[in-house]
Amino acid sequence: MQMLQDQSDTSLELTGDLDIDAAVEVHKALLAYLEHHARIWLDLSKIEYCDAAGVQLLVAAQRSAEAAGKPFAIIAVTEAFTTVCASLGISSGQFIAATSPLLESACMGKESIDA
Amino acid sequence: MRNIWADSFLQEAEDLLAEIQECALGLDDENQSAEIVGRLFRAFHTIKGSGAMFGFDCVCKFTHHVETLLDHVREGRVAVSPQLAELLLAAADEIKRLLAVEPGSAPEPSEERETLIATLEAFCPVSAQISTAAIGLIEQDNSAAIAQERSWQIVFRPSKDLFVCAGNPLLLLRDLGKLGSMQVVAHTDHVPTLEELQPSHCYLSWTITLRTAADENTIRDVFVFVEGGAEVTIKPMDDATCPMEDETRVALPVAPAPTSHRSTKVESSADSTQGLERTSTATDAGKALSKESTVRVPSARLDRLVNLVGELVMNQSRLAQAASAAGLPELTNPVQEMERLVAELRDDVLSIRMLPIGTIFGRYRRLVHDLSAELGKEVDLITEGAETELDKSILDQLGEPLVHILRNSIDHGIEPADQRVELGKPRRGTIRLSAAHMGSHVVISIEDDGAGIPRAAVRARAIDRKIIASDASLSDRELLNLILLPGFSTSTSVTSVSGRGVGMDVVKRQVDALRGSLTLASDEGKGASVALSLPLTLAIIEGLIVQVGADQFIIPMVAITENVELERAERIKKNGRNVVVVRGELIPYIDLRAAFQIEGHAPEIEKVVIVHHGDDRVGLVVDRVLGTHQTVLQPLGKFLRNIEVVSGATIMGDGSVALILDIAAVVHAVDRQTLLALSHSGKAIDQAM
Repeated sequence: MQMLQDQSDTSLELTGDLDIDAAVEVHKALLAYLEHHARIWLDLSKIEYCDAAGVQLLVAAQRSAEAAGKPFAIIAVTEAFTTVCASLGISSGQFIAATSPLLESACMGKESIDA
Repeated sequence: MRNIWADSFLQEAEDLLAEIQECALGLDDENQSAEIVGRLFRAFHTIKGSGAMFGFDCVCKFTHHVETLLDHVREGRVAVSPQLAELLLAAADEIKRLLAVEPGSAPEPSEERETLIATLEAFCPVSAQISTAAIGLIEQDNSAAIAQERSWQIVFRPSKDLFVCAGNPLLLLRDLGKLGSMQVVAHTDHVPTLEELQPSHCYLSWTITLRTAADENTIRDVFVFVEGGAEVTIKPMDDATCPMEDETRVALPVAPAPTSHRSTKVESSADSTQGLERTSTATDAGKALSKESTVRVPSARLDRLVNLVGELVMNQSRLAQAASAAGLPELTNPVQEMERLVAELRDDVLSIRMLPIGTIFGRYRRLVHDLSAELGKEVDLITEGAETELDKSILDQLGEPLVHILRNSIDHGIEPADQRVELGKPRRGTIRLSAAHMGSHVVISIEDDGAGIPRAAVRARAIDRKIIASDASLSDRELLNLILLPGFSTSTSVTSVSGRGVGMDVVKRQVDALRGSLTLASDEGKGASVALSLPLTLAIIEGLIVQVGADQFIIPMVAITENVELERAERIKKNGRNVVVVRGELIPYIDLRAAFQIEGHAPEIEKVVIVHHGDDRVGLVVDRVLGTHQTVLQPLGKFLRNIEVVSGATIMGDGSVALILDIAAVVHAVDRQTLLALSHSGKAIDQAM
């Protein structure tokens, strides 16, 4: 699992597998990201594999963001992610925010913060 | 080298094979056969599935044949019969052999196995044989589709450890989807915030509506690997209340539609996770075998824990004594609290070693089944009190004695079926194996309705072997107890089962070694019984500290009934006869000072500790009774292990060592001395030693 943060520091891109094996690492990264950012925007367009533990992490992240009064959104997903959500009976739509110019701008160049 | 998960699978398989054996032997119970077939199917299914995960391909392939047959049985296409039970037992034996084959390697060709497979296939309906051969390892029986479809509501609340136990809800839902069409609703209500979340825990649960022709058992089988600690409720739904028909059957599109709902109804199809699932690795799969509710611990580690607690108990006792001697009031409360905690810890640790005796009953059912078939007899084994718990170390040493007793019952006790009918008895003999708690002991009783112990033959044999004199006067119990002497057997023929004269003396010795007792009873022509009374544990016992001269001894508290005083004048009045009168009952006593040749003079008033010995009571005369003691049994070591009258030693609070008396051995030793004295005067026969 690789996590990339964009240059304008507005979104976090997750790459690779979002599963039980990566859960601890992603959990820590999301906690840190939540603490230091006013909004939580996640880019999942490079997720190759996802399982229930990974989706559960996103639900928890959304819950934390709501509790902290911070906006939460998944700005991009793969088909694999939505299929997994569908199979698990979870609407991926609950995470995916309406596309907005602000979000588009958030998806500009990214730099690696963890590997 | 096998990995730990493969070893874990082998342990699991052993348990499952034991369950299969038990179920197969219980298949003749018509009232429960449906449930038993279900249990059998699940056990074979688990062996097959887990076997495949760990590379035991030969186990998987062979078990598939059994599973196919059981599926037909479950669907009512093949009837339950004694032949089926035999076949399943043989299959379980074959699986046991195949489990010895290294994962990934092919087993030696076996004609027996091929015959078994052919028999398994022959049991299946013809159409099924063709389909099985063609499909190979396909799990689902298409014939199920012919049956009428119905809707089921399934609520699945997995264990929190689902993920770490390699449970993958995606694969599970996919398997469920294969059974028909379904809607999945995930409940995310229990998912906490990131701060509170344990990433390895599963907080999700699901409600699934499934429309399928499969029955409840087939649906439940999907959850077989995740049932530990999980809640799986499967309920049939009225078609009228089933919401599926009214809802759109399309996969949820990825749409920018934020919603506040935490759960969403979606249609899931069998192939919806294609490309996303992963083949489980051996490690992942191994985790699937572990159960949330139980943990396997090597017994050596448990023994070490018990030993450490034993040390703790001893040191706590020393601490209490030191605190008392120091007379510091500020130490009183902490020491008392420590005493309470240590006692609690001791009880908890000892309880970990307690196992239900039913864990060994299963193997006896098979023994009785095989042995009665071998000897051409018809015998039923009835077990009672399987839940009775006993220390594992005792249970481990109980196996062989029980085998001997059961063999004797079948070989010598139960008559052949025709003979039983002539005698007016039921054609099938019955052996009742029961266990029950009696105070701090467990009594295991083996009763049969056979011929009983032939007293005349026992007596004749004893005279013939010069064990007793021809005119010896023996009580009924003494006569029956002759069969417990080494090399004694009334059987005129030696069979592979019994009759070699070894067995009952070994049983007696082993029971004595466990600080237990053995009681025989027989009603000639009607049956015999053997009762084994065993202590609950061997590790730590409650003892009474007594003193004789400068020496301290421990008498196990469970054996003690009461203490009385014995004045010197009273002894003199009895004129050297070692008996004391307690509420009109004459009780013989053993003077420990004399028996152990301890120097010094007895006090004016001695104490008689009265203990149980079999059905009798006997007194042990000591100088003083000092109080109770939590006694941690320590072995005497190899140089002293031949001392029969003590079962071990313990360290007292002041660091001194006290010997723990073995009541039966003390009585036996004194009896022997008495008999020896009598034999010198020509009144007894020394072979009785």
